[in-house]
Amino acid sequence: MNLIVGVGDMRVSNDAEAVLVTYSLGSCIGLAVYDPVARVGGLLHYMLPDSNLDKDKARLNPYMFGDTGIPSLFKAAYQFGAKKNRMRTIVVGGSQILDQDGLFNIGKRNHALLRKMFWKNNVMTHFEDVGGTVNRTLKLEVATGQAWLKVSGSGIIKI
Amino acid sequence: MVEGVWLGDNKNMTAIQNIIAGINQLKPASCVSDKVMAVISNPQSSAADVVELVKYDQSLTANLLRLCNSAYVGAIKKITSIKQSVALLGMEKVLSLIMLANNAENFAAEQKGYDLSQGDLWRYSVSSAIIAQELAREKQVNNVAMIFTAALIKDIGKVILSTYIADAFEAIHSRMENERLTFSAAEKDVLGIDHAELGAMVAQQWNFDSEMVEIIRYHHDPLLAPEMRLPLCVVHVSDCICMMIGQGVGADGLSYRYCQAAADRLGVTAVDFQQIIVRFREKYEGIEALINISGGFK
Repeated sequence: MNLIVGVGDMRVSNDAEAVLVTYSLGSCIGLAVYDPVARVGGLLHYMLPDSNLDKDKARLNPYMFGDTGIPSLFKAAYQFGAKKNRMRTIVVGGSQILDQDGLFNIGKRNHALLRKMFWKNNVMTHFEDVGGTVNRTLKLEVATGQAWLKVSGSGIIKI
Repeated sequence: MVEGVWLGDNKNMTAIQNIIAGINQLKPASCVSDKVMAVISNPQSSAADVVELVKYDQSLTANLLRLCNSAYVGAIKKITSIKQSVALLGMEKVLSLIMLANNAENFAAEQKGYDLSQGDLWRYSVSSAIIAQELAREKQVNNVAMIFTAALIKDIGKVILSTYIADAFEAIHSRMENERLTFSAAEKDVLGIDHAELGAMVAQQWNFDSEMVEIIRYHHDPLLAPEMRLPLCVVHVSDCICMMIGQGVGADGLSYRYCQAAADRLGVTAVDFQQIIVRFREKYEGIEALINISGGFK
């Protein structure tokens, strides 16, 4: 059963039937986490790096922003019995339109924020496919932790 | 009559003429579309003109009323007639909804060449039109209904080119990789015409006004337009934001150039950019419903 994670949204599940999927990652980042012992999977699709843009809106929907969405994803996975030291992480997205520079570089900033938070919290990235000008779709099977990545214009790869 | 006004140095005119002939395979925008455009461009238009537009088309009227009552529009009470819709929502909004009800059919199908599943191109087009409408209002650019419509149908050329792209995709992709071309430039290089040129021809054939034709033609390259007018800037910047959000984006991905001059002309800042994305997310469920109702997906 596909559980679709929309833009600026998150899902965590330990349902062995569930497949978490997020479509349409442009400049947004898709972050998948999986604990193979607890068999818990989570998927976050955040759009922007920094919730300082609008704290009130970030309180209403923390999944829109990386700095509020990433901790929410880990906390939700812990509630299902996941442990940080067992968790595998997959990071995809963060594309850019050509000639986008400086302040508008949302794809790059989305990715930079994640790297900074992972480094500070001692979290490893196990698979990463970030940047370029492509659109991506990410799928995670909760029963096995198997993930698939589809890149626009190319085929599907098993991660 | 379509004129090859934008076709300059093409090697294979026969192949291009075949592609252009595909315009006739499209479901013609019903005769309502050009009448809507006439109402949009006439500042003297009244609610009665809007009622007149749709009153003989029962299925359009029914579709329009469903859209008027959708969550995204957020009417304060149930709308049961077109006259009432204009009174409650305002003419500009109703005209945009008529264009939405009237254009879904051409965009809803799968576009294999662009790796777009059923509904994807419509999802992209409606999202882009909604972002354009918001940006136009925020930056107080006039003629919001025209801007909405231009953003909605700007990729109509893809519907025709999709069949040809499937065979040419590898060549297009290698041009993009090796010569660092945008998707449009590689499309033009390989097929002799790109989707924006073809889309402008469609708009011309459908009797849309010259500004609309120009927006469709130059929506990826505003600097090439004879004059970089504000509505064109709105459509370009909204298109870029929509690509970044990624809804319904296909094989061409984000392989287009962002025109800073268009954003500067509108006075769009980095904060504006991000706030538009946040507002899109806030309305996301309503926008999805609007896409599904107008596209006949649910």
